[in-house]
Parts: sequence; structure tokens; C-alpha cells
Amino acid sequence: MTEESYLNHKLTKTMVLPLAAICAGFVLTIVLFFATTGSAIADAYSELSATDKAYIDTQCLPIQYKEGAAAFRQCVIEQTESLSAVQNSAQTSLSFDEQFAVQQFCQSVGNPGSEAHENCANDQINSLQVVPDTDFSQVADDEIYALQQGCYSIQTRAGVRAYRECVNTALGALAEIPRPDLSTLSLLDKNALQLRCSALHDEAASYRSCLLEAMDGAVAPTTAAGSDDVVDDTAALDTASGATETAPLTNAEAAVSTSPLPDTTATEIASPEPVEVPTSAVEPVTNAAPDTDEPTSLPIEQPLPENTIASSEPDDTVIDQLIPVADSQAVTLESSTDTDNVVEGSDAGSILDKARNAGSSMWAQLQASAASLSNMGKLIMLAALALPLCLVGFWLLMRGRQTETPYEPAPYPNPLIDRVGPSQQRRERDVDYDSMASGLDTPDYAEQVDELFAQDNSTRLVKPDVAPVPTTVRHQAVTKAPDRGRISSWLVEQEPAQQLSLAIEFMIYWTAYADERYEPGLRQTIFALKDPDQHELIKRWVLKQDTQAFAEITSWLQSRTTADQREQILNLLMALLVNENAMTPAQNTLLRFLGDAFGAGNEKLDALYREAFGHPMPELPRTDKPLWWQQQAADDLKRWDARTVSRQSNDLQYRVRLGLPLTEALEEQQILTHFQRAVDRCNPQKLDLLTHRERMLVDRQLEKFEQAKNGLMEAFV
Amino acid sequence: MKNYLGRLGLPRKAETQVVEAALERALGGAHDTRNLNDAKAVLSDSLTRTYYERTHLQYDAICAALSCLDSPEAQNTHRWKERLVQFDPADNEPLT
Repeated sequence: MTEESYLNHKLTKTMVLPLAAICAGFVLTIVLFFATTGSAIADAYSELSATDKAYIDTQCLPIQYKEGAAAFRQCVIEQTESLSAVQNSAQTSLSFDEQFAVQQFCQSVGNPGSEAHENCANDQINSLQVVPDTDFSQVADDEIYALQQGCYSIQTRAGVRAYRECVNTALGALAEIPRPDLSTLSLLDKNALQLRCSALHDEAASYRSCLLEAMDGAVAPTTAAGSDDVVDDTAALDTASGATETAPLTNAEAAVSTSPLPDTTATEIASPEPVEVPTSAVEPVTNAAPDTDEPTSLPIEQPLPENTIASSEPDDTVIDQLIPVADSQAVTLESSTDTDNVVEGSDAGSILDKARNAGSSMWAQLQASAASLSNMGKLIMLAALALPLCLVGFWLLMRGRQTETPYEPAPYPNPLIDRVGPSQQRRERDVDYDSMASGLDTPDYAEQVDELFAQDNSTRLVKPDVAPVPTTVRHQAVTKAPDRGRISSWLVEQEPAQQLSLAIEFMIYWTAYADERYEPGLRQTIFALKDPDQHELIKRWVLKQDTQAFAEITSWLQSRTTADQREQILNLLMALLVNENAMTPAQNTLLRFLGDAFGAGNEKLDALYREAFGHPMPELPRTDKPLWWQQQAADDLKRWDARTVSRQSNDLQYRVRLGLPLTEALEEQQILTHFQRAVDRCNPQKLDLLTHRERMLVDRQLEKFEQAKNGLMEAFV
Repeated sequence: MKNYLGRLGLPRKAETQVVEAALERALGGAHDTRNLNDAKAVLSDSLTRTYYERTHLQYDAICAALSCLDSPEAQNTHRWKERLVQFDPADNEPLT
């Protein structure tokens, strides 16, 4: 190599790579800027609450229905902007639950963003001036959850003031009952007891009394809020490791151990799953200062930042206690040497305090900025930050090697190729409304089974362990409910915003599977899953034909929804699962019972059915009577069997879908009339009191009706 | 709705041969065979048996959820309690 080429080579090594790194970072930052700006509306929409999204759907889906996609998009943008503007108002000073109470109360007076709505919201906020703030600092998370459950109906109907008063009253009642000492229970027993009491009692005070009674009145020592949780979990850990084997058996343990086992299949008995751990019991206590004396006794599932772990050294603990909570995050980012300097001199301390404050402020801003980004934005930002570092690192590596062998280009294997390969082969699991819808009306069973087999079963077939288990496994036990036991207990542990949708999902599956609208292999697959998600758990309950689960969900819907919502659930089931002229005996029986249980009665149900299908609802079927069978038309029997229909020609499937005659020639007007009825069943205004998910399901159903209409109309083109 | 299978002492998903054998045994000693003939007509045909079973499941479910009708908002326009009498284990007389 000549001197010139050597210099060029060196210049490349020393200048180009750092410049490339800087340029790449610059370009990615610009891309990030445009990506985040361009998706501002989408981000704003995604950040809205489920209630707000549901509201926007209510407003905009009829527009999509009448005026098309462009008008729908414009409507969503306008509604999102107006809602975002409202959310930036004084409401943000309220807690999430109180904001929800305001939204629920004011949604009836006008659209969010309107003057009437804003006045209502302001009135609601002003009404809080005479009610003292709610103080959850002396209450454990599971009890906060019980408090919120007890006041839920007031929260959704009576406004924010009544809600806060309800919570405060419940807090007062709770304060009069001593806090039970659960520290002698293992983590599993504690959570089983909490579940049991939660299922039996809606009020926080009675919930605590239940715990106290089960513990034989053992009272926890007076400590800061949340610390009992810490102690409890520590004890649980100790128990798990066998440290408390000699602990006396309390009533609670006896109750847990003697509680009757629910009906389980042989498969489930052979592969028991861990007892459900309520999420609320392990969520980090945000109102309480961290217990620095026992840093390792934090709830397992609480994310432990690395800096927290670093600060758990005994020598630093005392110093940490002297530092205000607000600054602790910034402090813990520093090295222990820096922390030691805090106590050496006042000057050094003040400088460090300033630096710490500045660091804390920057860290808070960074966190706020990161929180405001969408997932894609975060990904791009991480890439933008990581790429220059990777390039600089690569350059330094090259430089180091250059010292050793300046002229020889070293072969650099790319380990990323090996690492990326397998993960690319892995498919994401997504049991959302799309796949659910595809499994309901058009029984694409292969797709349904595919969706399940797309899992990485090797990670899901984890044998549960009673002994101390890794944090990740414990986390699964917390986030995933067991498949056995009362579905109502499981349901109340889910996010409140999801509960209605999950209960309705159960009813949808119950109605669909009543006529065995599933591939036979699905049953085996679902029961083999070791880590089922919410939707798979619901399927499991339904596939088990768990009539008690049906009863609990019916009761839940009966007590947690309004009469109008229940009427809309009946409309939904008819729109999704009943084809015209093809109501099966099971569907008929079920809808007639639900009609009664939901307060509609025979007359109202018949009216709903007539509106949906244009003719009276068939009488209650008598499948036990040979005479009744003789009265059934042969065509009807063919339509009932969805699995057989799904294997017929498209023409026949389309006819069944729209309730048209199966064999005779069709007229254009006939098709359009049946299609119009199907469209009317899917009118979003008939479902405006349900959740976004149900409306999306009906949207998918509407597409299938359109497909059927278009397919049949081709003969007339 | 008659709970033929329950009254024969069989589960809802009993095998066809088991059902037929039980029906034959019951028919052998019965004085009034009307119910048994109906049961045989429905349970012997695979199509009617299938839909009978599916309706049977709904009746089992309704039986479990019967207390929902005690709610003040509920109605009972189909007199469910009377329809479900044969699905109550305590009231399940043999099919003869």
C-alpha cells in the first residue's frame, strides 16, 4: 500500500465513520420528527380512553355508513381534536377515575368539545371544591380496587362529586376496621384469599372484614401504606422458599385449601395451572414512599429499575432515606461514589443538589417526551439513538484492530444475522376482533386453528411450579388468569374498561359454539395451551360447556348494564350469529331466555327480531317432539349447519348468508331487499351503547353481507 | 322440553349405542310408551339427536342461570321454571 492510499485509508477510518454516525443520527432525528408529526392525529386518537374512542365511533360510524371513508376520516380527526382540547382542560387535574366519572356524567348533555359539555365538565370539577380530596395512602391496592368497585355504579351515573363522596365514605368505613395481617400467608394463599373475598364482597369494608375474619382477627402492625404489601410479599417469598413451613394454619389457609375444586377436564387436572394472582395486589404502590429498608421485598412484578437495585446496598440506604422522593430517581442514576459525596460537605452537597435537580428535571422531561411518543415513535427514537452509538462503537473497534493489523481488513462475522433469523420465523399472536370475527360467521376453521398454532408452544408449555420460580414465570401467573374457577371472579380482575367487552365476547362464543361453529381440533388445542390469553380463556370456558360460567356472565350483564345496553346485546347477537331464515333451535332457546333475563320479554324480543329479519320470530323450538321436527322445512335444516354450509359453493353460502332461497332463481330486487335488512341489522346506531370492539365486529359482518350481495348481483351485471 | 337422556340416567353426550340399549330396556318394562317412543324417534336419528343435544345444553345453562329471573328487571314470559322441571336433578323421574 502506498503512503497516499494509507492516508486515504486512515482518513476513512478516522473521519468518515464518525461523520456517517452523526449524519445517520441527524437523518433519523428528522425522520423521527416527521413521523411523529405526521401521525399526530393517529397518536392523539390512540391516546384517548376507550370511552372517548367509543364516543368517536358513535359519532363517526354513521357518517362512514352514509358518506363513505373520507367523511369518516374527517369526522374522526375533528372529534379527536375536540376531545384532545377538552382533555387539556382542568379535568387533567383529576384522577383517572374522577375524569371517567365526569365523562360519564357529561356525555348526555352534549358532544365533548361543545359548550354544553364544557360547562358540564366545569360544573362537575367545581362541585369538588366542597369535597375533601381522596387519600388512598393508608389503603392497599386490593382494597383500592374494592373501593372503586363499590362505587362503580355511582361513578358511571351520578357525577364526580357523588363518586368522590362515595369513595371517601367507603374509606371512612374502611378506616374503622383494622387492617388484617396477611403476612403469615404464602403469596398463593394470600391471593386466593383476596380473590375469594373480592368475589364475595363488593364493598371495601366488607372485603377487609372478610380478610380479617379469615385471618382470625390478626391485625397488621401500623405501618405506612403499601408496606404491608411489601411485608406480605416478603413473607410469601419466604414461604415459597420453605422458610415458613412451620407457620400455623389459619382459617384462611384452611378455607383456601378446602374450597371446592371447580369442574375441570382430565387435561386440566393433569396440568394444573398456578392460582390467579390479582393484578391489583401486586401493582406498585404509587402513593407511598418506597421502603428502602427492604428494597428486595418489593412486589415481584414491580419493575425494578437497575438504578434502584444499585442503590439497595446497605451503606447507601441511609443516604437514600435523606433524599426527597422526587429526587430519588435522579440520585439513583448516579454512582455510589457521587452519593457518598453528598454527606461530605455542604458546598459539595449544594452543587450536587443542583446537579441532581437539573438531572431530575431533564430525566422527567425525557420521560414525558418518551411517554408522549407512540410505539412506532419510540422505536424510531431508539433506533436513532442506537445507530450512532453502534457506528461509533464499530469505528472504535476498527481503530483498535487497526493498531494491531493496520493494513489487513479483518473479517467481521455478523452475529446479528444469527440472532435475527429465528425471531423472524416467529409469528406474532394476535387474537383480536378480526380473527374472532373470522371464526364466527364465515367458519374459516383452518384460519382459526392456524391462529392458535402460531404460538410458540415451547414457551407456553411451562410446567407450573410451587417452589420459588423465576420472576418471569410469576409474572405470567399474575397477568394470566387460571382457566378454572368462577368466571365472574376472573372478570372483575380484568381492566374495568374491558369487562363489558369480555362478557359480551363470552356470550358471542357461547352462542356460536352452541351450534358447534368451530373446528373439532380447536377444543384440543385450546385446552393444551399453558398460557392462554383472555380470549382463549373465554373460549376454554365456552368449550367446556360450563353452564355455571354462562349463568355468571348472564348475571353480570344483568346487573352491570342498562336495559338499553342489554337490548343492544340481543341486537348484536342477532346481527353477528343469526342468519335470516336460519335461526337454529339453540339460538332461539338462548335468545328467548336472554330476552327474559335482560328484561325485554317475549313481546320486545319478537319486535327486535321482526325489525331485524322482517318476519316474526319462530316459536320456542321443541326438539324433543317428533311432531315439531315434521313441521321444519328441509331448507331450514340445511341452513342450520354452519360447518356444512361453509363447505358449499360461494353461491350457496351467499344465499344462506342473506337468507335467500337456496335453489330457485333470484331476482335483483329480492337480493337487495335481503341485503338491506342485513345492513340494517349492522347499523352502528343500534350498538352505540356497546364498546368499540362490538362495533368493529359488526363492521366485519357488514363486509361479509356486502360480499354476499356483490357475489349474487354479478349474475345481473 | 323433556330431558330424555337425564331420565334414562344418561349424560347428554352418551354414545348412540348406549342410548339405544337404555331405550330398549325402558321400553321392555313400560306400560305407557308414548314418551319412550318420542324419545326413540328423536334420539335415534343423528340429525334430530344433534339438535336435541344442542338445545339440551342450552336448557342446562338456563337451569344454572335460573336465579337471574329473580331480578326485578327480568321477565318470565316463557315460564322457564316449568319448562326446566325435568332438568332439575331432584325432580328427574325415570322415563317409563
